[in-house]
Amino acid sequence: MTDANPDRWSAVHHLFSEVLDLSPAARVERLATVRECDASLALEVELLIQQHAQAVRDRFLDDEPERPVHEPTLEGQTFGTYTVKSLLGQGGMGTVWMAERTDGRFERRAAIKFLNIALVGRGGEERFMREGRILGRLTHPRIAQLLDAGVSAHRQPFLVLEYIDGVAIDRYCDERALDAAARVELFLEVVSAVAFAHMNLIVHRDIKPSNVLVDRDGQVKLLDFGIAKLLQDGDDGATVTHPTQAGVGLTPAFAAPEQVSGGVITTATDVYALGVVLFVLLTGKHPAGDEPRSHAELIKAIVDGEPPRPSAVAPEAFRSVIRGDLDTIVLKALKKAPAERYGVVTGLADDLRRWRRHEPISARPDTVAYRIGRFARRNRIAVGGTLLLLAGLSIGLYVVNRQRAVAETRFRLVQQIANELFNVEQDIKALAGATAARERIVKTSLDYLERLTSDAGGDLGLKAEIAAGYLKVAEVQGVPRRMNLGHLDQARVSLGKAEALLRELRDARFDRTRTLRRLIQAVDFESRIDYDRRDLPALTARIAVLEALVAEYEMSRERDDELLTEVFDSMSTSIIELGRLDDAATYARRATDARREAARRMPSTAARGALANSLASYARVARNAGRLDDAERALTEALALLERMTVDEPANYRWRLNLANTSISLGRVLGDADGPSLGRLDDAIAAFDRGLAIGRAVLASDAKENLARNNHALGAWRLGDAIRMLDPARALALYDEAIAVLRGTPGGNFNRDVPLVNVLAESTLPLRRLHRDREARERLDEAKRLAEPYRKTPSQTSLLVDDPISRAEADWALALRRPSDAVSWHRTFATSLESLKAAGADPRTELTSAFVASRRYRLLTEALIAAGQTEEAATVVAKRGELVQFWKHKLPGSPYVESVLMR
Amino acid sequence: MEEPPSSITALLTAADNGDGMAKDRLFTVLYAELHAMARREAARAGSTGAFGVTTLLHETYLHIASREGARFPDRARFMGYAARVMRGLVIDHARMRRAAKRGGQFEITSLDTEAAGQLVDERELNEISQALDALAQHDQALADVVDLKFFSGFSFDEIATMRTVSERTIRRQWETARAYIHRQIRGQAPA
Repeated sequence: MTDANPDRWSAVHHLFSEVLDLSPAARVERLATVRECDASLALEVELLIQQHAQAVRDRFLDDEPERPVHEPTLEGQTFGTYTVKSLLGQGGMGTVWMAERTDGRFERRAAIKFLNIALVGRGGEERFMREGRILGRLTHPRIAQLLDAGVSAHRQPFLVLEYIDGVAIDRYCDERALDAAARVELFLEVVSAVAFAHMNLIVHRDIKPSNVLVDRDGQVKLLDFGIAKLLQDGDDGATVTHPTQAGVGLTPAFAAPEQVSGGVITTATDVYALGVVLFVLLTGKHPAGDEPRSHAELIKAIVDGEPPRPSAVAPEAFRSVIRGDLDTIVLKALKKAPAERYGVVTGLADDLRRWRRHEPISARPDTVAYRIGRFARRNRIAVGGTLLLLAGLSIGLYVVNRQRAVAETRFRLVQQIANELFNVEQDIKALAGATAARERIVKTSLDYLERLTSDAGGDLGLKAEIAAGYLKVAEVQGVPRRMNLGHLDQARVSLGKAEALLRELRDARFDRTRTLRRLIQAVDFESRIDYDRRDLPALTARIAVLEALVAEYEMSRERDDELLTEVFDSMSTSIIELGRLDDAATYARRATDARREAARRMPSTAARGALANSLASYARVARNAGRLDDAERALTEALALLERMTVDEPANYRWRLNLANTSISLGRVLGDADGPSLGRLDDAIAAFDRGLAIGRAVLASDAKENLARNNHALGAWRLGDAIRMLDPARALALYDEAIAVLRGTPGGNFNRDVPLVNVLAESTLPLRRLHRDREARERLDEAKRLAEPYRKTPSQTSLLVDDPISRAEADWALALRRPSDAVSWHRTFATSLESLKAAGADPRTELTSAFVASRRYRLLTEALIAAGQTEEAATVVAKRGELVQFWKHKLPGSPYVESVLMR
Repeated sequence: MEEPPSSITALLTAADNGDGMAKDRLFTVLYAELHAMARREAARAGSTGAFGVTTLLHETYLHIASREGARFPDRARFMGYAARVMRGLVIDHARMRRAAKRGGQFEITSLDTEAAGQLVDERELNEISQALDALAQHDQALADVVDLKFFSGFSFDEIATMRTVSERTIRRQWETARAYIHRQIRGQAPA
């Protein structure tokens, strides 16, 4: 039983958010693309969309609950020369009320903004009012006038501003469907207002679309000029705990890098914010992307992240207009270093006017070399880290080419691919084109690599780069267990080419260690494809090759342990398929050894955690290979590690949960009722008890924690299994505990439903023993209902739910003296077991499956004898014997085969 | 037995790191603070005797921040927990109102005058609360948005500022949470 998967939820959530805004047609298309890679993800999102539609129809959560306190009415109260009339709304800084002049003298309406900040002491209040007066002197038709600044009787600061009846500029433009040129026009007005303020030495610091309104007359009005500075606690330069609380407006999303990192605020800061606004106006998106993210991630995006070209993310209709000079202008305004932007806003305005008149602008676009350089220096992984790898490839080749002063054609090719990569990278960011974009990269790269190969001649260095290129392309095309497009055959072709080149290099003894390393990667990838295709003859040959290469690599001093671990893990999985269980376990152990070495060299919680994980994986393989002692040792070691980690990081309850989980795994190795074990029931009970105790403790401190719940249920279940013969009453209590916990978690979830089915079914035995037949029947029926959706397609999952149910039913049938019913229950299961060999439940490859099969044969035999069908019984006995013999032959060294399979 | 008081700063940090006990203690402390602040401000507000929820939360934040000093974490983190506490206060309030309404013979009348679905009653609020807790297991951010918007009454704009993302992002999170909670409470919607 695994924990609920947070990555899964994240994927569902992201995709849902994305498609929610799409038109139905676009949505269908997008989901169809997703469905190719991950059908269940697409399904989950579709369900959520339906749900959302219903929620909207139901007006769900539209009406807010009554609150214990109501907004105070300030109606009729006076502040300065204004009297409050009505509430306008709530903004980022506080509540805003509409007011009119008390003496009724001027028609003018005002907006009074009550600010939710604390002014420190009397000095704070005086400074506030003084600065407010300075700002009040800023008078311009495009700037909302600050009429007054004051502090209320409750010591709450407020600002009295010219009331503007308008909408935010981005909404305004969208509502009127303004084209790019019209938006630029409007934007120029904004710039002129900012220019005026700058002439008066006032920097806005918080320019954003919601601060730029357009009123009913189509006039632009800027709000909150300089107020950000007003709101700072203390003077500029005072120490602040949060860089974002000082120097930044209240909207970090629009902040310039220097605002966020505590640098100097200048007019160029406003230029940046204007750049962001223009970007939003032209594309409808934020330059740093629109996904939700943590504070730290946003800061990083602002400081490090490169904005995409506006033309790449703008709506279709705008792209051709924006592409080129307008792109350049926006990007210049958005440069990280203030010195690289327009120094004064008039520079920005001038270039925009030149663009409008189709005259050449002053800003220069970045050179290819500059862009490549920046691109390479970024360490942020875009969708598909492979893109970065390919970029690295092209840069490597670029550098190589420059050094060789190559022919013109080849050089142009490099430029082409670099450009292609840049354009494509922006597309990828817009998510919709992800797969198509990657396919374009692949095609371009393959063409390129092809041409280079024919040119390469005797240039071994170049060939090495080409081989690396093919490896990377193959990864994107379709190496299993790496993110890929699923084109396995094409990947194979690329890998073949890589391998051919690498062998040539190997023969020539070129760059030996690196060549060997790449060759191992190539062959490993190929083996994974063989495994996926279940091409056993090819896999056998490939593994042989791989083993030889790995043996050689292990002896080199600069070997990469990370690579080795990955390859060992991958070999372990493949080899199981070849039936070499022992060897698989050996490789898994070697992966563990590598991790242990890594943890020894650089001890850290992360390294220890990775080792604990690796030990658990190894234990699983070992158990399946009948190496139960090794499994026990590995799990015991993992437990010691985890114990250490819970001491080192007591607040991190995940370690404790892992400890609980591992305890239970150990319990199963020691004395599982349902799988291969050492048959040491007492020790098993102790281990289960421990796991359960930890699970219970974690749950007590945080009852809502789903992981803890799952662990708790798991522990109770396994412990119940272990003692159900010894103490049915206590076992039942434990089963009931597990059921209660599982029922408390939401259904429709494999991780919850399958265990619940199991426990419900198992609990019927003690229930019947206590003569509570009616409850037993109810539970069994409930289990069947729960199991229904998982039985639709015969698979390993269907076996997981069929096994306990059919055993429970058969056992009951026998007790009711209906042995033929028992026989049919058992037979049905045995048949499905046999027909599912291909699905990975082959009793001949894994000991766990063998156990299930063997147990079933035994039960079937007993039922047949009870039904008087002794001849068939004999056949089944023979079948079982055959299975046991097979395994004894397969694992000659294991002392446990017979005891496990004859249980 | 007198327990040494933990500073709220320390409790917040511990709660962020997953310390369940600190989180519980934090909620208790915040509950007390919010109550106290509401009483104080109600007295100050004079005749109106009432005080808005978001203002209440802001004021409480300032009050605690000035008390605990410069190391107090920022508003956004505070609001996440405070809004969660507010949820409890809102449900309590609904419960009290419901109890008041249960006046026997008057029940039918009061149901008549209230448009059905206009008032979200205490039962559904409880279900929403539980669904939120379940949602918080997968995605604390989404649950926070619901606490902030639905229970505490912050606007999308304010929440966006606190969370340092765009307003559109908050809207999307709200819609996602809405769909999820709807499913929890009303079951999977038909196609």
